[in-house]
Amino acid sequence: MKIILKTIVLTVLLTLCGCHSVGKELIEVPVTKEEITSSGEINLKKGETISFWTKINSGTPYPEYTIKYLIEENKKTIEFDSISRFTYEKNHIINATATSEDITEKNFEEKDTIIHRENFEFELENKKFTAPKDGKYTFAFKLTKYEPESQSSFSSGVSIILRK
Amino acid sequence: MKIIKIIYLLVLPLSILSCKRYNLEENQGNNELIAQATKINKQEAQKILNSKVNLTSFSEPGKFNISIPDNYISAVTVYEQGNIDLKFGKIDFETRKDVISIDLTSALLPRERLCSQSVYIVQEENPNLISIAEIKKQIVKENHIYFEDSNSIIYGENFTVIHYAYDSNSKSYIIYNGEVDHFAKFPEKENLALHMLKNGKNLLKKDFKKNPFNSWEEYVLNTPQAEIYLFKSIFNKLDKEMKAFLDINQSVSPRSEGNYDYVTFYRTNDEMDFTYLNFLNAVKTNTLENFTIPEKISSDFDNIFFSSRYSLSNKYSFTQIDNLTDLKITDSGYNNRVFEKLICNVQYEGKSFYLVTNEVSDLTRDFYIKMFNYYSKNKTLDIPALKK
Repeated sequence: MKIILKTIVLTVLLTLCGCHSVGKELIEVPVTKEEITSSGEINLKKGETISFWTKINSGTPYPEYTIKYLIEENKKTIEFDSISRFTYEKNHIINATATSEDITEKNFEEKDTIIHRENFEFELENKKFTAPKDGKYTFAFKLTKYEPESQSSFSSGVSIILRK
Repeated sequence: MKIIKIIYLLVLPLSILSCKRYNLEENQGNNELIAQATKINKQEAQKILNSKVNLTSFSEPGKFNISIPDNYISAVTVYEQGNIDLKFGKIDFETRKDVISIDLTSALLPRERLCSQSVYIVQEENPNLISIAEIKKQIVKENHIYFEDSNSIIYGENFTVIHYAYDSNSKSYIIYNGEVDHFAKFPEKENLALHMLKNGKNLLKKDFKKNPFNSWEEYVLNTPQAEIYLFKSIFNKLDKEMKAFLDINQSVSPRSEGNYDYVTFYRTNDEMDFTYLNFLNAVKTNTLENFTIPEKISSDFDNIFFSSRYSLSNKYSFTQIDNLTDLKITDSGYNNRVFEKLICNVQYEGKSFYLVTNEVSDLTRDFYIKMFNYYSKNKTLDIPALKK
């Protein structure tokens, strides 16, 4: 009984710590090369901190990317800059999964060939922003570099998760 | 043991609460797209039905003579007996010979499918075969009716519009049948439905004269809000590009909801601006042989301003309207076909941009000129008085 209770307490404490360390997800904004995407308005009080987590779904564990971002408060520019894989000193990665599979496909000579596919998904803490005053903030993003090029034409496989 | 229990009871609600404290306002744009008012106000309707439109005659001798908006594209189909299954009042199309169908589309957005609009012409001696009461019985069933008068009705979840008239000159029924697209996302679908009804009611109008639109404001007040909304959604995407994102020599062509592009927005540097002004001056003074494009910028310059068809053997002419150049290129390598582009300079905080479109025809030119020049001056398509 004691062991069970201890386990529960430990789990809850861990959950609590986990929650505090990454913050609560506010919104996930897909990021593309074609268009600027935006979080919509987020109410923030002075001193509140938002962290940008770059969520990657890629065939390689080390894709190179640059995402430009614009933070506005009441349509006034607060900050315009960019983030990339190594712009943030912390290397804080969460929700990482790696999968691989072998797929049999016919090549142009109609012979079966085995293709080995790997997929890496993870979220990397990329930036922190602290609101300088109370207000309605919008966070806009555009992907300006991504290597290797995404396989899918519908999605870049990159998004930004805003956490508070 | 007790202490552990207390800690457990304290920690659990804390862990739940700590995850919930955030305040996010949803993007309100999407919430407005829910079907709105259940009944169309007659006064509001009248305002739209009387709104300004320039009409043009569209006819085939001995077959039909109707009036349609002068910025509309039309396509005629003649259905043989049994090939069209529609019924209005006592007129059953399936039993009729040669039903003429004319599909109407706004030339501003020919591919977007905001709505479908068809006009049917059925030869008939008897002028008493259709009534709204009969149409209601046949078609409407349990559908909601938004609007009706003696020969029109707007009903159902897709804002179906029916208007009919009997043309005693040609001894035929003219039936207008339109529908707002079920999947298109835009607010105020009833506004579009009323503009469609206006098209139906104008079909037999004969005494009209052209009365040009004088400003972008006038276009906004007299064009279906769905069409203006579509252009605004594209131009809104330029706002942040202009403020921050777009680098020199970069361009964007934002996509509409239906995934089409209409406008390219390009950021230039001083050399590009200077070269462009030199080009216009060379055309004006007929000294194009002395004009050269610097090697460094030639590829982008040719691409943006000339759709990659710059050549000294082509002929060029232009008209300047405020900040906009209406450029015509007569392409010698293309059987002297004339290509037209609208190019409008936008200055923002010391940065220079160009709005460019190839979507130019006699049907769309004036709308784009007014829209581009308004954006160039105001950096928005919103009209202050109309802002909610």
